[in-house]
Amino acid sequence: MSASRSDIAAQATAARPFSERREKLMLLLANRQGMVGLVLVLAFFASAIFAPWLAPYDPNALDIPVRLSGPTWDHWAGTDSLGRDQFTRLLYGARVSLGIGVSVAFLSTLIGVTVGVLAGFLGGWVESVLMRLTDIALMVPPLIFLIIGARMMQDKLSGGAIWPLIFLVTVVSWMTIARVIRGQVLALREREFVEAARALGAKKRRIIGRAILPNLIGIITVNLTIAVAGAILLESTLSFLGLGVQVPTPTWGNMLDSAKSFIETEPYLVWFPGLAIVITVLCVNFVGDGLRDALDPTQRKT
Amino acid sequence: MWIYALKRCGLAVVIVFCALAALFALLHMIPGDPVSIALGPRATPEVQARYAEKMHLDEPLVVQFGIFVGNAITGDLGMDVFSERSVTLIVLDQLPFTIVLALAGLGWAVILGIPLGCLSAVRPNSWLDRVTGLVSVGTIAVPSFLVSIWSLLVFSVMLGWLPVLGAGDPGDLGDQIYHLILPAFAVGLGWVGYLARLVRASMLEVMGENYIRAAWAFGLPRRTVVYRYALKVAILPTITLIGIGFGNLLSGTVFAEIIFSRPGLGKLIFDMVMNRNFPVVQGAVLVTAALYVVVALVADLVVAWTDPRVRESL
Amino acid sequence: MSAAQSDGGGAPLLRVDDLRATYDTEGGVVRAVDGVSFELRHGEVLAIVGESGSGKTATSLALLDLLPKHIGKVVGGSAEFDGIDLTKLSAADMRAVRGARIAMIFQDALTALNPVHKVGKQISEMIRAHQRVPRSQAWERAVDLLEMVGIPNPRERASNYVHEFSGGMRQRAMIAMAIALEPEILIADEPTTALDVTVQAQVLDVLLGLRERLGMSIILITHDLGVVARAADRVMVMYGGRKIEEQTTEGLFANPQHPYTKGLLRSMPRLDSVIGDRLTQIPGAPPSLVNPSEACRFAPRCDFARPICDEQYPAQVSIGSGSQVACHAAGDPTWETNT
Repeated sequence: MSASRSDIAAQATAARPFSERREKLMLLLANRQGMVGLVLVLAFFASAIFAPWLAPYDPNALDIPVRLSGPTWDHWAGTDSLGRDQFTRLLYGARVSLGIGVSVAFLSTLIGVTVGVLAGFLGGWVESVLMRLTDIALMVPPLIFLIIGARMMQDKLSGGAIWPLIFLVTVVSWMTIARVIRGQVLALREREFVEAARALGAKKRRIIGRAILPNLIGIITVNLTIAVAGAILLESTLSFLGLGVQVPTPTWGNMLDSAKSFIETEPYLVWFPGLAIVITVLCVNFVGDGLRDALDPTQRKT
Repeated sequence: MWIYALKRCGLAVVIVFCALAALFALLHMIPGDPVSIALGPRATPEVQARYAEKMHLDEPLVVQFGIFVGNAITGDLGMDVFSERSVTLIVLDQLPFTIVLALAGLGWAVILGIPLGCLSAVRPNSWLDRVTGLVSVGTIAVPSFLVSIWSLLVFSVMLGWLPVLGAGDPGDLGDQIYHLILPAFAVGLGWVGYLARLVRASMLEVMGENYIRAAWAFGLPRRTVVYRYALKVAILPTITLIGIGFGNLLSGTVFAEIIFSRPGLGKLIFDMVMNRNFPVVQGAVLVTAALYVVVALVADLVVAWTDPRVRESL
Repeated sequence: MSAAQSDGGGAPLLRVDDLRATYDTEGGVVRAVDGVSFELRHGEVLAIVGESGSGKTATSLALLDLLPKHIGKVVGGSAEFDGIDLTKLSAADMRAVRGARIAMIFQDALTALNPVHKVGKQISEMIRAHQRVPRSQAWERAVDLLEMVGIPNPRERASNYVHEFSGGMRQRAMIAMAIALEPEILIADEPTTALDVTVQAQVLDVLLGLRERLGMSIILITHDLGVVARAADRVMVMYGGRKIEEQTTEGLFANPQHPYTKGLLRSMPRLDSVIGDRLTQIPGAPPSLVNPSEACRFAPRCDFARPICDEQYPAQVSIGSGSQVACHAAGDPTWETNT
C-alpha cells in the first residue's frame, strides 16, 4: 500500500521529465530579450554585493568643495549637494533597493502561495475566509496604505530600520499571486494523479508537498521575478516621498527625493538614479517574460 | 438596463461602506492613546480635548463608527481640529483640481492610446505597431513619479516650454489650462501604452470573430466594420479596466500634484499624513474611495449600455 | 416550373476557372483550393460537398476575397461573374459586389451576427451600406425581410439582440440580412449544420422558397448529403482542395463515379436500409495540403488504388451531360470500384 502511494507521488513529480526540463532551459536560453535582461540583472546584483570593493569612494564621505560638480573624470555620475560621489551612492543604493525587492518578493510569494494553496486545496470555509481577505486587501489603494503605514512607523524608519518597509510593501504585494495560485490549485486538484493520491488515502500534507507544489514551480518562479520589479518600484516611490529608507542610507528613491530640489540646475542628479530604477525594472520584467515563455506555456505571449 | 443599474449602484454602496470600515479600523488599530496618536505631539491639550469630544472618543468603537457613518451620509466628514474648518469643505476645495487632472490625463491617453491600439491591430507588424509596442513596454517600467520628474525636467527646465509649478492663476482659465498640460501629460503617459496594448490585443481577437468575417461578407464598408462593429466590442474590456485602474490613475495624480505643487486630493492626503492630521486624512480618503467606486460604476454602466449580454448577467 | 428549369440552358451566371488559393501556416503553404473549376447557372442550387479541410469553404471565401487576412490569398485562376473577374476586382469594387450581388451566410449565426447591435439595426446598416436610403426606410425594409423569412412579430423582433433569438431564428435573421439586396448569388456555408433536424428542414424551406421568389442562385456548402438530396440541383464533390466529381443530384445519388463519393453515400443512413446493415465510414484522415505530391490525393484511403494512382493526379473526365469525375478508374470498365 505504501509503495503504491509513493508511486503516485513519483508519478506526480515526474510530470516534468528530464527532457522536458532541458527543453525549457533551451527555450529560456533562446529568448534574446530574457537573456540580455538576465545578464544585466546579474551584473546589478554583483555590483550591489561587491559595492564596497567596486565603489571609488565612501558613500557618506562629504566633500563640500566639489559639491554639485556634474559628471567628471573623478566623479562619473557627478556629486550631490553635499559633495558625495553619486556613482558610489548608486552602487550602495542598489544594495538597498535590490535587497528590499528580493526580500519582499520572497515574503509576498511565500504568503501568496500559502494562502493560494490552502484556499484552493482545502476549499470550504477556509477558502471563503482567505479569498474574501484577499479581495478586501486588493481593494485597499496601495499608495495610500503605504503612506499612512510608513508615517505610523516613522520612528522605526528614522532609526535606520529597513524591515518596516519590507513589511509594508509585502502587505500590499501578496494578493495577485494568491489568486493565481488558487486558480492553478483548483485546476490541479481535478487532475488524475492528485485524485489518485487522494483515493489511495495519502495525507493532505503529502499531496500538497509531493503532487501539487512541484507542478506550481514554474508559475511561482515567474511571479517571484515579476514581484521583485514591483517591490523595487514601490520602495523607490516611498523613499522618493521621504517615507522610505531615511538618509544618509542611499537608495535610488531617496536620491531622487533630494535631487528634485536641484532639478533646475543639476539635471544629472535626476537622470542617473531614475535610469537605474527604469533599467533594473525593465530587465527584471524581461527575465520574468522569458521565464514565463519557457516555464508556463499556458500564458505564453503570441 | 435600469434594474442592472440599480443592482450595480447597490453594490457600489456596499463597497464604499466596506472601504470606510477598513479605513476606520486601520486608523483606530494603532495601539496607544488615540488622541495623541491621531494628532501627534504637536497638539495642545485644548486641541486634544476638542478632538476627544468631536470624535466621541468616550464611546465604544462601534458607536464611534456609527456616528462617523451617520455624519458622512449627511455630508459631514467632521472637523479639522487644527484649523477648525469643516473637513467636507477642505476636501471639496481640493476635489475639482484632482478630478480635472485625472480626466485630462485619462482623456489624452484615451484619445491617443485607443486609436494607436486600433491601428496596430488593423496593421500588425507595421512600423506603427512596432513603435507602439516598444513605447508600451517602456512606459510600464517607468514609475509615475519618475514620469512627473522627467517631464518637468525636459519640458519645463530644459526646453522651457511649460510652467514649472502651481495650478495657474485662479481667475485665468487659459493660464490654468497652460499649467495643466504637463501634469496631465505625466499622469496619462503610462496609460497611453497600456491602453494601446489592451485595445490591440482585444481588437486582434475580435477581428478574428465570425461576425466580423460576416460583416465583410455583407459588403459593409471598412470604416463601419473596424470602428462600429469591431471596436465597439473590443473596447468593452478596456472600459472595465479603465474603471478598475482608476485607483492607479489617482496614485499617479498624487505624484503629479506633489511634484508640480498643484493643489488636489493626493497632495492633501500626503500633507495631512505628514502632519498626522488624521481626521482630514479620513475624510479625504473616504472621498477618494467614493470617487473610485463611482468611476468603476460608470465604467460598468457604460459596458452594460453597450453590451446587451452583460445587462442580463447581473 | 422552377427558375432552375426555365433558365437551365442559358449562359452561366458564374464561371470559376482553375481557381487556386493558399494559406500561409506555420507548417508551410497550404494549397487549400487547388485548381477548382465550376459553373453556376441562373436560379440553380449547386451543392459543394466534402469533409472539413476539403477546400469547400475556402473556395467560397476565395470568390469574395474573404480569406483570412495576411494568411490566405488567391494565387491563380479566374471567377467570371456577369462579365467581371472577381479575382481582379479592387477592394472598393469587391465591396460593392459583396452583400449586394453575392451574399454569404454562415454556419453559426450566433457568432456570425454582431452581439452588440440590434438585429434590425444590422440588417438596415447592411442595406444602407449599399443604397442611399433613409434610416427609417431601411428599418422598415429590415422588418419586412424578417417577416419574409418567417420570423413572428418581426417588428418587435427587429429590436432584439442575437442572443435573444433561438437557433433557427438566428439563421433566419442572417438569411434575411443576406437577401436584403436581392443578390444574384447566395453562398450558404453549412447553413443548417448547427440546427436541430426539424429546424433544419424549416430553414432549408425558407432558402428554397426565397430562391423561387427572388430567382437567385445558391451555392450550398455542406457535408450533409441529406441536405443535398433535399435542396440541390447539382452537386460538386471536393477532396483535398480539388473537385473530384460533379453531377446532377439525381445522377450522383443514382450513379456515383468516384470511390470517395461512393464511400460518402455508403456512410449516409438511409430509410430503406436493411436493419443490421452497418454504416460504413471511410477509413483514414484527409490529406495534408502542404506541398502535396502529384499523386491522387484520395489514393491512400482508396480501396481500389493501383500503382498509377500514386504517380499522377487523374485528369478530369467528362461522363455525359455536365458530369465530370477525376479518377483513373473512370472509363476503365476493367477497373472495378464497387464493393
